[in-house]
Amino acid sequence: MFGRKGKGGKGNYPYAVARVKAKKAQLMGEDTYSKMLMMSLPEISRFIGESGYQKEIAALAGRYDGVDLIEHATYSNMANYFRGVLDVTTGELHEMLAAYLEKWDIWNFKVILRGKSFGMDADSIKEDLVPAGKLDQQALERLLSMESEEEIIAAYGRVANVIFPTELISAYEESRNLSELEDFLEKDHYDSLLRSIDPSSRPTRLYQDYIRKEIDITNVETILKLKAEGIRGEEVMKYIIPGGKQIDKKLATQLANAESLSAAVNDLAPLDFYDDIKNALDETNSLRSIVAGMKKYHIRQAKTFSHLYPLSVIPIIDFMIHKENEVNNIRIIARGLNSGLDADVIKELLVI
Amino acid sequence: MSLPESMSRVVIVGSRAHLDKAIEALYESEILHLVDYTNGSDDGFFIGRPLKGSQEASERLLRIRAAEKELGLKASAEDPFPVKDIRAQISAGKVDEIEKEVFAVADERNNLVQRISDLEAIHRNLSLLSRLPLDMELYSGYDSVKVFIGTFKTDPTEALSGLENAEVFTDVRKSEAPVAAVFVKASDSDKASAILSDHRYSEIPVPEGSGPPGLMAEKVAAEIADLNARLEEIGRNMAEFSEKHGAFLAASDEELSIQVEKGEIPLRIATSDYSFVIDGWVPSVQVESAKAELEAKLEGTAYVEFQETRGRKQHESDEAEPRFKTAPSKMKNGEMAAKFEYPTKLVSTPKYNELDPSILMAVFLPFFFGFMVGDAAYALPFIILGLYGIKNAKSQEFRAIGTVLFFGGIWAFIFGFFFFGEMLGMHFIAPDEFDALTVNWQDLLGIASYPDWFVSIIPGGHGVGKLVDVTFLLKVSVYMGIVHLFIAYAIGFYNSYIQHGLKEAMQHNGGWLFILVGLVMVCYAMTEVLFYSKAIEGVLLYTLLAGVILLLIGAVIAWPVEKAQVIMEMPGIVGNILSYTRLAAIGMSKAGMALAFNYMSIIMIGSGGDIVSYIAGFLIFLIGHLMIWVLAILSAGLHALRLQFVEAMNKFFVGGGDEYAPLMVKRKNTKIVETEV
Amino acid sequence: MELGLIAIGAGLAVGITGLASGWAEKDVGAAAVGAMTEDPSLFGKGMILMVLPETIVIFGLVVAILLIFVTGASV
Repeated sequence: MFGRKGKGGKGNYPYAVARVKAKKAQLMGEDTYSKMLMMSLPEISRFIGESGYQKEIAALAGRYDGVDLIEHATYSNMANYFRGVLDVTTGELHEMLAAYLEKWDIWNFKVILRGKSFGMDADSIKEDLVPAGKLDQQALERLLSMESEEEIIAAYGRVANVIFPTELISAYEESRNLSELEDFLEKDHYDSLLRSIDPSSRPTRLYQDYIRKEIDITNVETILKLKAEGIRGEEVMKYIIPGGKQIDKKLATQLANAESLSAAVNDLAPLDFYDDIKNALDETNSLRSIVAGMKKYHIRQAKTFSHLYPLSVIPIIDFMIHKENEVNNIRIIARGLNSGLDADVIKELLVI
Repeated sequence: MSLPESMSRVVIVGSRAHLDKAIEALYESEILHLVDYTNGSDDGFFIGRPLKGSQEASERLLRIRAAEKELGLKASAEDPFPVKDIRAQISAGKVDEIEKEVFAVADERNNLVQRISDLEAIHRNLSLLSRLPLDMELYSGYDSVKVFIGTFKTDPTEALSGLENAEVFTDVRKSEAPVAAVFVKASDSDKASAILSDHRYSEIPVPEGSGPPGLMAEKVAAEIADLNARLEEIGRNMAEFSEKHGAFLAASDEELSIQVEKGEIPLRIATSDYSFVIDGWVPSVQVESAKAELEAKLEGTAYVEFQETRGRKQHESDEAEPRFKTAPSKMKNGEMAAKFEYPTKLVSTPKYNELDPSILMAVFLPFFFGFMVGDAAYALPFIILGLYGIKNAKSQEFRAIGTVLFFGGIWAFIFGFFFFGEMLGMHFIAPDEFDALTVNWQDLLGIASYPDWFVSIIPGGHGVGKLVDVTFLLKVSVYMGIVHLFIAYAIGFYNSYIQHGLKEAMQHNGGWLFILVGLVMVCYAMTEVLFYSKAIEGVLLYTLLAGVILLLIGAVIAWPVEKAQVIMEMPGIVGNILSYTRLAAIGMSKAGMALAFNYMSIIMIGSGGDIVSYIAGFLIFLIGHLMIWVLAILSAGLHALRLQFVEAMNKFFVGGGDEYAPLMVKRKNTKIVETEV
Repeated sequence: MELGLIAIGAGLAVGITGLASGWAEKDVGAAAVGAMTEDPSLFGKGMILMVLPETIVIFGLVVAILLIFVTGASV
C-alpha cells in the first residue's frame, strides 16, 4: 500500500518523510563521537551494533573483525538504508531520489571496472560494492559476472540509462585509462540530477541550490587536485562540471590558471565557503584541510534548510547527507584509531 | 495526582585506581541515575577509557551475536544459568568452540545455497536449449561461424532468411517465448545481431558440456536434488545446534553485555590522570542512606557528596549547567494508578516539575470506555479478558491494555446494568414509551412483571434508552466533558504555579479557567433561549450575566500573554466540549447496530418453525454481536484514549522528561546463586 | 415526505463528514505509520495525530442522531 512504485504522480511525501525523520532522530550526536574516540575497535563495532547497525554487524562479525568489520558494516548499512528509502518512495519523489543516489551506481561501476582491470577476483570486488543506488546487489553481480570490460560498460549504459559517446569508448579501448570515463559519468550524473529537479517550488529550488553548491565544491576540489599534480589551464577545464552556483566558466578558468589557490584569494573571497577554507588557505594550504573545510560548509548548508518544508524532498535528502556523513565519521574514527592517530587529530577530521 | 519524586544531585569523587570498585558498588546499590559527562565541562577532566577487559568482552560479544544470528536464535534460557558457571565457561573458551562450529556449518550452508542457485540457472538454460534439436558440442568451436542462442519476443526466422547461409533452429510455442539458435557467417554477425535485437533477443549462456541438453539437464537436476538434501541435513544440524547451545549462547550474551556495560561506564564520567568524578541523581529521601551505603562499600577509596536538591521552579532547571538541566522523573503512584503509567508514557514521560497525569487516566479512561460500551453483556468478556491480561501477559503493553479492559469492563457493566438497563442491546424492562423499539428481554422471555426491587434499581424503572433519551445523553456527555476539561485546566494552573509562581499561573492558565466556566454558563443560557425559546429572565438572566462577567475577567487576566489568542481560542474550547458528545454518539451507534441485528434475528427465529431460518437467525445474532463487541474495543478504546490525550492533556501536559533509570543489572538468562554472594 | 428529507439530511451529515475526515486522515495516517515502522515508541503520538480529524465525523454523527431521533421524533 505504501511501497507502490509508480511513474508519475507526486509521490508519497508524508509517509516517506515521517520514516526518514524517525531514522534521522536515531543518528549519532557529537557526544557519541567523543565517546567512540575513547573506545577500541571491537568496542566501536559492538557499540554501533547496538545503535542502528545491528543487522549488518551481526551478519558480518563472523567473517571480519577490526577496521574491516566496521568499514563493511557501515557501507552495507548505508546501502540498506538508502535503498530502503528509495524502495518506499513513489512518483516524482522516487525519481528525484534515484537521480541523487545515482552517484552510488557510478561508484559501484568504477569499483567493478577498476577491480577487473587490476585483475581482482569477483569476491573481493564484491566486498567493495555499495548497492545504495538504483542498481541493487543482483544487478551489480550481473555486471560483475561479465567477461570483458566493454560488455560491462555497455551493460551499465543499458541499466543505468547512460549513453556513452562512441569516441569515449574507443578511446578507452585504446588507452585503458578510466579517468575520462569517470569524468564523463560524473558530469552526466550532475546533468541528469539537475534535470530531475523541477525548480518550480521553493523546496526544490533550495535542493537545486544545494546540488549546485556541491558542483562548485567538487570543481574547486578538482582544480586543487590537478594543481597539486602541476596541471593548469585548459587541461583543467576539461574536468570542470558545468552548472555550479557561484563558479561559472570564467571564474573557473581564473582559478585554473592561478599559480596556487592562495594566489587566487581575491577570486575565492566572494564565495560562500571562503570563510571555512580561509584558515586552511592561509596557514597550512593543505589539500585535505581545504576539502574538509568545504565539506563542513556543505553539511552546514544542509542543516540550514532541513527544518523547512516538511513535506518535500528536502528532509529526505537532508537525512541522506547526514547518514552518509555519520558513516564517514565512523570510518574516519575507525581508520584513525587503527593507524594509531591521536584522538584530537581524528576529531579534527570529523565533520560534525 | 502527584509530582514525580524529588531528586537530589550527588557527586562521587575517588581515585582512578579504584574506579572499577566504585562502578561495582554503584551497580549493587541500584540507586544512582548517572549523568553523562561531556568533554569541556571542567578543566583537566575528560571522559575516560573503557575498563580493561571490555575490549575482549566486546570482541566475544560480537562473535556470539553473529553466531546467534546465523542460528536464527531469539531464544532465552528457560532455566537461567548460574553466573559462576557462565563466567567459568566463557574463560575456558567454550564460546569460541561453539562459534567455530557454527560458522563452519554456516559457511557450508552459504556455499551450498550459492551452488544451488548457480545450478538452477544452468538448469533453466539447459531446459530452454533442450527445446532445440542440437547437441551441446554443436554450439561452440567455430572460427568463421557466429552463433546466437537465445530467447525472443517474436520468431526471427523470416527476417533472417535474407541473410546468406544463415541457419536457424527455432522452437515456437504458444505459451512460452520462442527459443532459437542462429548460425551465421562471422562476417554477417553485425547485421544478424541488429535483426535479432529487433526481435528482442536475449542471450542464453550455453553451459559447457556435450550430448543432448535434455540429458544434461536431468543430470543437473539430480545434482540439485542431492545438494538440497544436504542443505536440509545442514538445516537439521543447525536446529539441533540451536537446541543444544541456544540457551548457553543467550546466557553468555547477557553476561558479556553486562560486563561491557559496566566496563564502558568510564565513557560516561569525568576522569583526570589520577581521579574520577561521577555525577548523578538520587531520590531525595534516599540521599543519606545511599551515601552511607556507597561509602561503606567504597571503604574510603571514594567519597559521596551531596550537591543540590532540585526544586520544581523552572528557573532552577534553566540556570543549571546544560547536563544538569533535567532532573530525571520517577513517577510516584500507588499500585493502582501505577498500572496507568503506561498510557501516560505512550505520549511522553512527565517532566520533573509537572503533575503526572496517570491518576487522571486511571479514573477517566475506564470510565469513558465503560460509558461508551454501556452494556451488561459486552462488559463480561472485557472483564474476563482484562483479568487474563493482567495475570498472564508478559509484555508491559498487553498488561496495560488488560488493565484498561478490566476496569473499563467493570464500568461498562455498571453503566449497562444500572444506568441503561440493557444487555446485548436489549432493555430488561420494556416501558410504554419505548414502543418504537420492540425488542426487549421482557417480551422475549415472556416475563409478565419483574420484582419491585429489580425495577427500583434501574433508573426511571426501565433504564435510559440510548436511542430514546438522545438529548439527555448528549447533555450528560457534555457535562462530563466540562468536568474533565475543568480538571485539565486546573492541573495546568497548578503546574504553572509550581514552575513559575502565582502571577504567571494566573496569566497563562488561570484566565482560561475563568473563560471555560464563563463560556459554559453563556452557552447554557443561550441554548435554553434559542432551542427551547425560554425568556431571558430570572435564573437564566443571572446565569448569562455571570457567564459574561467571568468571560471578561478571564479575558482580561489572560490578555497580557495570550493577546488575540484569547478570542480566537474560544470557539476551540466550545469545540473541545462538544467533542465529548462522542461519548453518547458512539454508544448510540452501537445501540443502533445491535437493534438492527436483534431485529433481524428475532424476526427470522420467530418466523415459524423452519430450521434454516432458525440457524440463520442465530448466526446473525452471534456474528452481529461479536462484530459490535470487537468494534467496541477499537472505537470505545481509541476514543477514550483520544479524549485523554487530545482534549485533556493538551491543556496541561508538556512531557519530554527523562525517566529515572538507575544503574543496575537486569538478568533474565543468568542468575546469581546464593552461594557465590 | 418530511421524514424522508430528514433521513437524507442525516445520511448526508454522516457521509460527507466521513469523507472529509477520511481525506484529512489520509496523509496523517501515512505519516504516522511511517514513523511507527521506524520507532514503535511513537505509537502514542502517532495515534493522537491520526485520530485528530476523527472529530469531524463524530460531529456529523451527532448531527445525524439529533436529526433522526429528536427532529424526526417530533414530526
